[in-house]
Amino acid sequence: MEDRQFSDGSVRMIDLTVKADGRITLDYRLVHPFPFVEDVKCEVTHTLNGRQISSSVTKLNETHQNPWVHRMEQPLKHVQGDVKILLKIGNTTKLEETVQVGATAAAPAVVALAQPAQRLVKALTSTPQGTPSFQATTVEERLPIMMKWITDRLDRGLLDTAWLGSDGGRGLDLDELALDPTAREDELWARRVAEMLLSLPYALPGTFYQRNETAIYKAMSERIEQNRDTFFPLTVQCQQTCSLALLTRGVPFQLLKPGCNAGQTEGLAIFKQAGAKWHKGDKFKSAKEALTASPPAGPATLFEFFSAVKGPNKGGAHIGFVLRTHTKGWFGLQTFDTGGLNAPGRAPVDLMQVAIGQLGGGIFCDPWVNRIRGTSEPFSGMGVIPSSFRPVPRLAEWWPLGFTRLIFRRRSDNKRLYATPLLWMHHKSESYAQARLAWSLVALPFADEIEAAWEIWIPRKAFVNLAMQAERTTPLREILQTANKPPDRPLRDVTTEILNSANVVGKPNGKVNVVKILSGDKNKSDTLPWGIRNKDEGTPPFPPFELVPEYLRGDETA
Amino acid sequence: MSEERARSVLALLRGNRAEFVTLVDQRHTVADYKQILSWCSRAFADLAFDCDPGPIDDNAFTAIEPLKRFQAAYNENKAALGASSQLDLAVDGDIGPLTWGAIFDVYEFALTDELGESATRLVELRGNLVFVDDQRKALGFSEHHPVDQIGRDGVRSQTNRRAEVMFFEPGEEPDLALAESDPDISEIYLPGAFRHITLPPMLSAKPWKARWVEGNANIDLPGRLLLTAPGLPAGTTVTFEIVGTISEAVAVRSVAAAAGRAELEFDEWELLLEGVEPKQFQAGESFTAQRFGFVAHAGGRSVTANNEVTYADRVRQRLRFELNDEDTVDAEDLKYVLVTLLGSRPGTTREVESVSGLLLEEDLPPGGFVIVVEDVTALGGQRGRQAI
Repeated sequence: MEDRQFSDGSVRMIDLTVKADGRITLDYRLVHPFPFVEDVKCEVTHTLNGRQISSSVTKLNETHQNPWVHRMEQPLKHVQGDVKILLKIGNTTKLEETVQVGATAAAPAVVALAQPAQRLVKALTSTPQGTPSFQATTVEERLPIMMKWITDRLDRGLLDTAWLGSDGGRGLDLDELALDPTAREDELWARRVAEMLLSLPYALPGTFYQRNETAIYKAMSERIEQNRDTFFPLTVQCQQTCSLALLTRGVPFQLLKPGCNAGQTEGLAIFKQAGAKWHKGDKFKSAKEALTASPPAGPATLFEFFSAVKGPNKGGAHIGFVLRTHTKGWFGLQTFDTGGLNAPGRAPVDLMQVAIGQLGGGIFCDPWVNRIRGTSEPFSGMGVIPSSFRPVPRLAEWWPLGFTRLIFRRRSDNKRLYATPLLWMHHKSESYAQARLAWSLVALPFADEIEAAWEIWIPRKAFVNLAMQAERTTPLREILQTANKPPDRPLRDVTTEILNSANVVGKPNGKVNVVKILSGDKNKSDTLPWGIRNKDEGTPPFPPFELVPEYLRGDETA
Repeated sequence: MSEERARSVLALLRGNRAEFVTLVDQRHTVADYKQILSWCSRAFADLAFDCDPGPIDDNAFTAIEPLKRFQAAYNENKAALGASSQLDLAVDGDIGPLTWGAIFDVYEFALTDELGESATRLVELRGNLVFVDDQRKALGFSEHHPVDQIGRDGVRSQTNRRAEVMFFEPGEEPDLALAESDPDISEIYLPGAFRHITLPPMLSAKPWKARWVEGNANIDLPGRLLLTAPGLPAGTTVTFEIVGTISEAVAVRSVAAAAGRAELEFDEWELLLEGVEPKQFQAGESFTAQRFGFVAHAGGRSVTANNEVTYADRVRQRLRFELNDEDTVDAEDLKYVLVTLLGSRPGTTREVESVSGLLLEEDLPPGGFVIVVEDVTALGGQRGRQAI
């Protein structure tokens, strides 16, 4: 049996709850990726004015439905003071923390309550990780462990794991948020959209897929209308993020074409529909005004900035969309942006290099704001789609229009230890967006000695047409060979049909880094390395094929 | 003889000058009044009674001069003693009813001085005396129930020559008729019926008063307990027992007294809510008013405060949500739950005089509070949540 232990200090999430009888309870959540933790107890000592007023020992309560979260509840005798928590496994103290509880009437006259938004870009690295002490010393032993870790994470997904982080996650899974059905659907939408688009390279898909965006939207929309799973591009600029947001909300191609731009988006048919409106006027940059307008801002509402003189997509033109709204107690907007909306505090993030103040400054979810800043270009309006447009079914199955390979290298000499063949970015019913690939590498065992990296490749030209039409179960080898012309050309010579867009690289400290690879040169040719594994690449001697998880085998057979 | 002794003490207790004079004039020894003269020479700081007789014995000759000096001093201090209406004594060194009356006056003066009361007030206090049996206010016992050399007859014992003032709890009174008719079988001194507890001598019998200096307390205003205790020596340990009205919890704190007074600041009110079951209050419903009293113990005495302090905190805070590095928004009409040691109460932030997001709470009990809102739990210094 594996030796399951917490990494010191890696598990902590503390909250206060009030029971129906008015008692205040310290709700101590251990966010940890392992369902079985043995002999865990929590010693709680409450002091007030330096005087101990209570102490108790609580055993781990394993009743929580989410196996990532272990809970201990400790009623507090007093509502003020310092609560010292010692978390022990056996007799070893693993975590020591002191929490200040409550306040006195002498508290300051103005109190600011930090209200961190749920931000996947933060949660991916701030959710407590915890790495067990796996007993493995050789590469042969370690690689299967690492592969299993990675594929387990891929299949489990982010909903009840990565989103548990302290930046707005509070260790609460979706069910615990107690949302009404509509709000729950919107929250699920926000999480899925954030997962899909997070950390994508800022680049025109038309340029790098060599297929214009309108055609891509049309193909996506047709699959939606046919009630098939659909795909999404792996390079975007601000206008594509907004088009994709509208597609995910069920806006059909005929109302979306030719797609959003950073300028003149109000001309899209969707904004002529009953219940929709393109609000104009600077006052709508205020979250309160936007959220009390008629119709009010909501999920996928667009904010656009552009100069009519310069034209759409010129100068500092920009467009971004609303991911979440808040209206209870305060008015706030959370945008998903490529940087031009300039939300204060959007950086730093661990996940990628972020260029603040630039339109391609990093694609991710922003903090809450009470007003939209935007760029130096004039505010051209706020586009609200009809509230009847709801998140499309099967959104969770949307798959990235691209491929990936998982590469292991020994850090000491950069020697490649193992590489998978080219893989679809989906497997069975799960889809592996770039964010999920990143999460799979977080806190990876043996990351200090072995680097794991996902290379992400996007199809081009004829290849992309075939990929867009492919069924979920179509073998990759099949469309590669079909796209390869002449068909008998060696696969290793396939060059311009595929492009390395980004790499997701595990770091020695267990964190992860997303690196944009695209040069921006649309004529750049990439050699397809190891497309379908060629004989002359050689077969890595380990791990044995049967120990490679199914997804990582790709089209290979034993 | 023991009965006469008891009656003479009773006469002093009740202020009966004539009875006292009659009793002591008809039976006394030289040593008796030498003892009194000796006490008298040391008893008063402000009055001069230069009448120390030296050794206490029955040598009447050596008592003459001290007695003369007493008689002269009495005549000189009559006004101060409150005995102006009395005739001057002949300064002759002879003891008789007039001199015994003067001795009574000195006793009476000492009594008022010890109690810190006026002669008029002393009369009122005497009016409060309640006897077990008005027909038998004093009884003689020592021949029947000696405490020294029990069982031997004819013993002359200073210890046995005593007068005891006994106090009985209501409902536990002895049968004094029996004690009078047959002292040998009275339950007063026989084992089994009563337990004799000797009350410790008080450091001072002067009136002491205990009170809260202010009638209100809150987080910024600690409770101030004050014991005014004339005659209490500096350095004496004074123990305060602070009690609340809704819990049986008691906080005990001790301080060293200054001369004649002791003072304590107290702010650990939450201790006095131990064991209180929290309940759910309705919006707008007042928390139970928190009133506290105390008892001060010192020098063999206990004094209960003659007032109470009421504790109530008031909170006026403007709540804002901090959305990012720059943006804050007032918490308008924010529903929250206020949690205190007495229980929880829902509330809503308000706008007052164009200031929005105000949390206004009155009558809060001691022990602090936590504000819990739907989306944010207010928690100090942890994960971005902050104490309010």
